[in-house]
Amino acid sequence: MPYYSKNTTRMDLHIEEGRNTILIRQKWRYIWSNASGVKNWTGSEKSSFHSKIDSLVWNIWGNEYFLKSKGNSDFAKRNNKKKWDVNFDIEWVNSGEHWQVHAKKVKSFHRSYVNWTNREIHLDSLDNTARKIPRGGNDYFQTPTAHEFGHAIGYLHDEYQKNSPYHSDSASLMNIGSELRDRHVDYILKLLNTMIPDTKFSMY
Amino acid sequence: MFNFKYLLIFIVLFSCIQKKNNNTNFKNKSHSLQKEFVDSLEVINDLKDKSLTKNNSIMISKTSLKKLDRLTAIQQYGEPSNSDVFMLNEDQNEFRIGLLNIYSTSEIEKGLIIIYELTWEKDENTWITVWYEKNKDNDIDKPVDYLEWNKGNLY
Repeated sequence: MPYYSKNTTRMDLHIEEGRNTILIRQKWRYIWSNASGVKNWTGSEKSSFHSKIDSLVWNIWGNEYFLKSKGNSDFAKRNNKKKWDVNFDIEWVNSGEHWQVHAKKVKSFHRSYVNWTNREIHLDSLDNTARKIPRGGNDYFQTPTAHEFGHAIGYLHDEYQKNSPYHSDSASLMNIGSELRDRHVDYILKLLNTMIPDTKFSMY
Repeated sequence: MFNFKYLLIFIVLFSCIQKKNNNTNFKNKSHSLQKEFVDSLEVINDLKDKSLTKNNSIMISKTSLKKLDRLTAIQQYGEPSNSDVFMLNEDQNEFRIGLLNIYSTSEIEKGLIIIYELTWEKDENTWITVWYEKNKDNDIDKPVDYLEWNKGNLY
């Protein structure tokens, strides 16, 4: 079965026709640091940190988006009834990275963020744990790593900002909650739709 | 003859007094102008110290903002580009997470702390955000946390 790939500066996309799967893979190179008064990362802490990130991203973002493909291409005709499953994977690399990931070991809270232009992700050792965020009498839960990953796949918007059109959608992962929305993968769809001529992917 | 002598003395004396008065007025005037000039120079130097951006707005520094209460900061640096006000026990998003290091969980959960969040543009690439705790007794809301951040950062 044919296999289609597209490599970009921030992620690689693979369409695996045989498995009905679209895989989005990012290569992360970690830069390890620690806050003052906090011991250095140990080797096993580093491995555990990365494994948790990989598993969080796989579990929270994966198997949640299903796509269909339409168009006049042979590919589209061949797969016109197919349901594509989108999965996400993070590979720890020492060179050739998509993203430079600054991972800080901390005791107190630190702001985590993504800088799309510089291809930088800033995370800390507390980011793989879900945090309770109250709003309007409800409690929402969010794992910062999952939220930041949303920015790293091209959702360049924080919905919790007062002026966001989605500010009231508190449960959304890119707001203060943990639920995915179709709009969160708009950029992925845009990239997918450049991969095979006369083929358009959209939500199933 | 006697009268003429006295008249002459009077005229000389009068002209001397006039001259002295004129000198005093000039001195006073000159002193006042000099003070005005020095004041202006101080203002100009003050502006130079804070360095001017291209659009003539005063460049903001985190160091100076740390010393100012909310209203004084607005007076000095103008209306912020963005502002918000919130209860600290609500909406603790990633951007505001630094505040959770400042207050204890019990203080936060009481739901009595009101925070003003003001963001000024430092330059074309940078924002400065300052968080002020609302003072319930007067208008002097003191800064409690600061962040200078790249405009491209997504929190």
